[in-house]
Amino acid sequence: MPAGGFNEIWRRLRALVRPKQLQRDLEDEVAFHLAMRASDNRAAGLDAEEAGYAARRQFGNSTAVKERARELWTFVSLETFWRDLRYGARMLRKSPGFVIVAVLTLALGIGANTAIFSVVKAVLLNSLPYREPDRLVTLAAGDAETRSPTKVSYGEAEDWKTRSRSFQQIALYRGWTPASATRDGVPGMVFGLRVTGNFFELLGVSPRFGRGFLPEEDRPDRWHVVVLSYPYWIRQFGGNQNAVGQTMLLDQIPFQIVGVLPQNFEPLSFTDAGSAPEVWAPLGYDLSLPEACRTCQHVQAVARLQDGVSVGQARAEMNSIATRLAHEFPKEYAEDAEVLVRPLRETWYGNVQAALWLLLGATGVVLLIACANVANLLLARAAQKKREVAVRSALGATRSRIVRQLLTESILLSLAGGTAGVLLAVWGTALLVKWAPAEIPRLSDVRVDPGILFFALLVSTARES
Amino acid sequence: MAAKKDQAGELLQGTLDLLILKALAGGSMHGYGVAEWIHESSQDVLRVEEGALYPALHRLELRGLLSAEWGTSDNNRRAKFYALTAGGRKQLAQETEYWRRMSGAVARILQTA
Repeated sequence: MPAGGFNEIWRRLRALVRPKQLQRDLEDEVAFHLAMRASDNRAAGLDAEEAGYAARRQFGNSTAVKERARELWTFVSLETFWRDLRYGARMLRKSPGFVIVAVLTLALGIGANTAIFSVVKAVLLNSLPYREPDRLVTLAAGDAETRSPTKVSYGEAEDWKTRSRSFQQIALYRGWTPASATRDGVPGMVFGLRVTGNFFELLGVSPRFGRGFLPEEDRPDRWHVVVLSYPYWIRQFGGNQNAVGQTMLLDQIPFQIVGVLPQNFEPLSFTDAGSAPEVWAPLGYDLSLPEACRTCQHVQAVARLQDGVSVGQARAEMNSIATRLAHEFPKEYAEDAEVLVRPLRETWYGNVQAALWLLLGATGVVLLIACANVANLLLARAAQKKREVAVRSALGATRSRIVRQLLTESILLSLAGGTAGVLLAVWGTALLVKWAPAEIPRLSDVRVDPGILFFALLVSTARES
Repeated sequence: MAAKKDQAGELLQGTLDLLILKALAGGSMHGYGVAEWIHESSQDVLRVEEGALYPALHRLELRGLLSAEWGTSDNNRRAKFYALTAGGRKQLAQETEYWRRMSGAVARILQTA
């Protein structure tokens, strides 16, 4: 705009706050023109009536001219959008039955989808909170009789460590529920894990403060140190950093607190301890202990693959090790001994993965049906609108103007449905988390996040096309 | 709007602004006056399409090239009078110069055999 700029905006604003004045001025200006033309026509010899007709004929569609001039003055897109919105709302208010059915249908479709999608995202799509989680595998000793083993004995795991070359490290852990006293002296149980000294390092997790375990602490005579979970530390020590260095009694034995884990630490949650672990202590085994025996299969193993080694290669190597061990210790192992090597993700999600995808697919179909239904409703409504559209185009409304107006109305409907859907989703997600079976891991992470809201918005408006 | 494109005397895109500025160079006028002035000055060759005239006037007013004031016409009716602003005068000079160059160039092209 060469000479426009600030002054132009000022002139527009003035017109915006006095819409009636602008309208009257336009009316007057056009009326004046028509009157002048008519009187000239009369002077040229036409009779009064004919002169007026001729003037209007020559001028063309005066409503459209006024509209065009008016649009120049106003912030046109904003204002027509607002006008369409109000008009759309008025039209929708006139047929509450249609609106209720359409909005409910959409809300159900979108709500169910969003809720399930929230769960799927938290459980399946977000990556596990460890360093390079895709390189982590779980190991378990099995045979033809034990199809889905989860455990291994300490003795056998030691053989794995010395004989295998597929892994950078193998860490072992077992559940542990020592008796403890709470801060106010009430006795109770603590859920915990005993882990080998390399456990945190293998996962790639370092304590929030304090330290993890030292290799020399992972021995039968030295293992009386603990690392606390963040929630336990807050609950029992009020988040006081002095906790590190203090001792606490577990099973009447004094343990020195050496560290606190980060808040977002995700315990490996396919352990048999019912709730999330709160304290960690070194496993503290050696081969002399009776519980380290070759058939005492009560520890679990997680390992990090060597760079460049695939799960299949590791599996092949571990199975040949198992076969050799079965030959060396025919009394302890079945002949067909094998090692189950599975990606951590699979061990964790194996059972629920397929079910969740299926559920997402099912709700997707529900949404499609909902959309088809609403489209049908809209189609029926469009048939009723034929008259209105015909009148409007006869009055000089352009095609795009009519389309824009109808689109605004149905976007309004979509957004209403989307909003109701999101409300339903928030509520439904909470319900899902509450009712879901405990087998679904990481449900505590489920939340309706911006990405999901965006998904819902996309779904609700994509219905337009 | 139903524009009659094939009508004789249809104005080139952009020339309407120039003609309006020129019409008002001699003093303030209302819209009808501008239309009649252009019609007469072109010896009845050009007829401004009236539906396009008012949007053009308002556009020029918005851009600050014209000022507008409500007054009373010769026959005692309320009418909106337009006048050139300083910016409008400058614009008129520029556009006139541009038009001369362009029409001269087109004319030269048409003269070559």
